[in-house]
Amino acid sequence: MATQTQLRDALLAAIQTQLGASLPATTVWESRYTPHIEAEAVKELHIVAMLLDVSTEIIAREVDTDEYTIGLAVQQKVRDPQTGDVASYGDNVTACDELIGHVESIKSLFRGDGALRHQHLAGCYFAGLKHEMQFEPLHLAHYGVFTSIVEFTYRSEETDE
Amino acid sequence: MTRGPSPGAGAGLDSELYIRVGGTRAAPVWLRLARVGDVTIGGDKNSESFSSRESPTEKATFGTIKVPISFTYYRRQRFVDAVFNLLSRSHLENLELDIAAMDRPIAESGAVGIRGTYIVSKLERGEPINGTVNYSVELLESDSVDPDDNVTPISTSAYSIP
Repeated sequence: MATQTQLRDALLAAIQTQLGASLPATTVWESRYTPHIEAEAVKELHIVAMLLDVSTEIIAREVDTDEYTIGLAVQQKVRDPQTGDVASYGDNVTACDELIGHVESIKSLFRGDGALRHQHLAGCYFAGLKHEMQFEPLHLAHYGVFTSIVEFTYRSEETDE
Repeated sequence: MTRGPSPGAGAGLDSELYIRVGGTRAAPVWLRLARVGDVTIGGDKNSESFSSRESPTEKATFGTIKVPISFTYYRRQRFVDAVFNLLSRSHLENLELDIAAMDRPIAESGAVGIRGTYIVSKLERGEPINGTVNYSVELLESDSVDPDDNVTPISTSAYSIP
């Protein structure tokens, strides 16, 4: 099995182990290749792990640094795309702010002395995260889906050959 | 008119560095240094400038050539690293290392480079917070004699594989 797919699944499982009890019991944790688009598919909170980038940098004659980026999407329907109804989901900003809060709970596992900062997964170690897409505007405007994607970077650890 | 690709230059990745770990100087058994990054083989020539009425321009007199070897090394920390053990012994105990720096694998006919006897003069460890643990290594040529006869002085010189 490829390292990136093992890492994707291991990262999702590690975060679920840490946070599962503090998120709604109906939360769906899953690995996918693309985020959800249809609002009806994400009426409940979804945490979706996806493959993003892989890069290999040559640092010595027989040593490479492999860098893997795994995307973690926090997704939920916040507005009916047909009717524009937000009443069932509370004010749009309130619902989205709550979801941003869930994203920050995930990120805090990797900050400072966070539980997952030094945890090696699938033969890789944590090397940083980016949160450029705090929400995907097209998903929100057209589909009523709040999608926030955090990019986790992991690097391959030393192995015996 | 379409031009093809320009002739490129040799790749640093294809050069090779070796330490002799067995055999004799004439029939060496080499250990390849696979975990080296950027390698520099120095070539400064000692000189002294002088001026005389004979010439409107300054001249130089030349002496010996310095051939230090330096590189970045990525040590295996959790597994056996025979190369690092040799570098460390040389650094701590002045173990002399018979080194060959070639432009391609030493088993290939036509490989050219230099060969000399060196001692590790610097073994500096770096632990960058966002990078890989690495060692900055420097070797200087030692005042050595051929271990096969204990008499003939050795100097770094061109080395090639027929």
